[in-house]
Amino acid sequence: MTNTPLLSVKSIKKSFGEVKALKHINFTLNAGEIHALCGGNGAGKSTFLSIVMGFLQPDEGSIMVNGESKVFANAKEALQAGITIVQQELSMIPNLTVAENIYLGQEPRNRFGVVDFKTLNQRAQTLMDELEFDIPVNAMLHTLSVAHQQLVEIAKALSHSNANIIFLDEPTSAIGEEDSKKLFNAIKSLAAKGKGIVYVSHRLSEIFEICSHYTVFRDGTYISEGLISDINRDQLIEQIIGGQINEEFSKFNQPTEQLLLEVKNLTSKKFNDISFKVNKGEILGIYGLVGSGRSEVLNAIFGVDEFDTGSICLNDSEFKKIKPKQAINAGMAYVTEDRKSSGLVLSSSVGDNISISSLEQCSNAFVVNEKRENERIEAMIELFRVKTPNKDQIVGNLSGGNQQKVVLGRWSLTNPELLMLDEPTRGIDVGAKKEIYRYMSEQALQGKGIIMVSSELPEIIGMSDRIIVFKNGELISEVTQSDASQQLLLSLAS
Amino acid sequence: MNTSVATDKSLRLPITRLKPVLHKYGIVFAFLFLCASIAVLGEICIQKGMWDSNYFLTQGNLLSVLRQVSINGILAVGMTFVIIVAGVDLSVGSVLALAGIVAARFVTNSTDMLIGGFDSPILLPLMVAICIGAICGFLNGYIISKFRLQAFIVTMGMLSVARGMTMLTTDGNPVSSLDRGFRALGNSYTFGIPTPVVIFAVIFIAAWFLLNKTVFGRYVFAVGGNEKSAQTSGIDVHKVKVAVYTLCGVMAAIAGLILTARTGSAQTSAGFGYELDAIAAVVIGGTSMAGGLGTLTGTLFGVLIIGVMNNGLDLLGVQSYYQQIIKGLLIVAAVMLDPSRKQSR
Repeated sequence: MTNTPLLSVKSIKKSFGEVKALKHINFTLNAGEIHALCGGNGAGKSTFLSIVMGFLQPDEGSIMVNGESKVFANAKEALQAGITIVQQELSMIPNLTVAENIYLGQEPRNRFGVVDFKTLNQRAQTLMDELEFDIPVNAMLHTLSVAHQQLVEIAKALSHSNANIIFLDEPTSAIGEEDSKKLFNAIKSLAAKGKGIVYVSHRLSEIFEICSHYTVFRDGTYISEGLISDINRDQLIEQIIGGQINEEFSKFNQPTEQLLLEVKNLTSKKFNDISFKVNKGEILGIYGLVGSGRSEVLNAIFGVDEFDTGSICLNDSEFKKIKPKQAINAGMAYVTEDRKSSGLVLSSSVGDNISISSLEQCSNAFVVNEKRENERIEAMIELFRVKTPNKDQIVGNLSGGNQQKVVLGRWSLTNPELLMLDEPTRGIDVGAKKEIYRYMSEQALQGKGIIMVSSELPEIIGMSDRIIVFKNGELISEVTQSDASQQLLLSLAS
Repeated sequence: MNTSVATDKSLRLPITRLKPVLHKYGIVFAFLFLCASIAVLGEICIQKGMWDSNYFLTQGNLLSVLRQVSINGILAVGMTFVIIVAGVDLSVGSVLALAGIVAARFVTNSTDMLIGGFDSPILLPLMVAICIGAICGFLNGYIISKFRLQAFIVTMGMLSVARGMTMLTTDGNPVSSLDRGFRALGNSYTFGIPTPVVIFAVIFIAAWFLLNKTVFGRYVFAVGGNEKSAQTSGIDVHKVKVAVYTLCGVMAAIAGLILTARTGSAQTSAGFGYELDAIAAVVIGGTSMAGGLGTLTGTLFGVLIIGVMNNGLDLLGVQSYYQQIIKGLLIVAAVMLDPSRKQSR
């Protein structure tokens, strides 16, 4: 191994308008390393990956590959420099064979310009043998398990013959434990061959299992790097969350002893035997990593997805099966994780989005009483201080925070007793965040129950009376606000 | 520096003010421009001695344009709902034929039939036709929604099935010599206006009310705009979709009745290709094929533009082959100018 690092990134800065996504980023990768890239939400990992892959260009700073200074204008140039990435989402074509997927866009051709399938399959087989992946190369991709598809994705990344810097972005988020082991073996043998691997994951146990080095980013800034053998789990967590003081959260609710919601033994393919309670006036936090089943449970409670067994009791009504309409009538409201894809109708107006769930309350027979509807819409725009020129503005044109307020306004009109908020402050500005915290406290103070899913640790600790932690579809522990710390939650969930 | 900014602003303001107006009423301007062009061409024809008078602008011609467009208009009303829920219905032409021919068989037999104590050549066929349209539409909607199939495929299936059943009903023969009372539905005048036009107007107003003033109408836009969000908002997406396709089927059936009455006989080939004219009118009217956006007023003008264009080109003696080419170009141009296209990145 030479002393020149495979990849050396220095003093990278990148801003999007006013927002400084990367303030100062350094990163060094040597041959044969399995290098963990750690950082919480908003630490700048994704922006960093995008820059190294050539999707984005840095405002300042340098990128050196094998000692040569490089500027990547696009993804193709990064690929030519030997950098490849295996992304979180699978990006392959289900109706092609494994071999066809691996060599998509670089198929060998015979002299008539037709794809030479024999050579194609031979090459794919050679590659698979080298990687010791036991996957038939002529199988249709969709017949494989998700884990094997992930392995094919990795093989595809390596099929670019000069690839020696490999980024793996949350590669285990979709696969089970056993397949993770196979994946780890493959990663180790690649590193042994002198490739440099960058492993991006929230799962600390995996990092300690396979990685040799680590680098920590926080708030767009390089924090530290070193050998995994020199650090323990608690120290790493400390580095990731830093001396972050909990922000000011307007929390002034008083939980009561009166039961509002009881979830009993809820089970589906995505989660197993989930039971918990929410009292009136209480804010219950749900914490867990992506894929832990936290959002899926809310989807099931609200009837967006079905569950197999178990039941939901809200006040006196018990449901063994539920649809969103029933959930709303029973007094539930649900602010989904992704307001653009499952919360708002982006092509409709602010007003239509606010009134859609409570139209029946302002209509005579089937005809909408527009005067009453407008009064209710205006009241919500005022209550939540939605910044919009008027109620007829298309909601897709508003900022994230204002869009979220529109969703809250909609649910406020249905007079819910239980508010379920999935990542209610994701992607919105500080001012709007504060207003949302205040609203949650006010609602709880009035005796409503609130469930909040969040992956922002300060937020979930600052706002929740109790926190339940999900991992791999199981509810693994419950923590009260006074006991909760960022270290504890992160180590329970990962 | 300051002055140049000021002049810039003064230059821009009228345009920025005009833009939304052009946006909103663009289709009206397009329609008026089309009418004016044909009228001017008519005047030129008079000067050149090809015409004795401007035929296009006569009351008789304009009423006949309206009568001609009323069938496509009724189809396009149903199609607008379907396209707003992000679907499409290719079967309307066939459903029109099936409803027309079955209804016609009830007409021919209805001379001795007494309904509710009075002789009605219209009531029974009307009910039969509407039932057929509703069943076809319901099946379309139910299958599309329940099995999550593409509307294009399902309604294409219905296109073939309904046409086949039309043939089967009469072994491929037309049903003719229909009762005069029934034919009145297509030929008579009500308050001096052709009856089909009156029927179209009533349907249009009712549909406009349904789409813009009722809870159901709001749900239609929400389902078309984002099905998932509509579901989490508590809307029964399945019900809305089934209702919309059923409505579209009923519209096709009513159009079938009028066509049968107007031609005085039910042909097994009736309505062939009508679905394309209906879709064209909706698209020209600015409704987005991606769903969630659209207006019935736009559709009305889309229908009128196609109708006036066909009529004008006919009067000016342009070969019908050219008419098809022009219509095709018009559809593509309308979609290119569709403002909603920018949003659906």
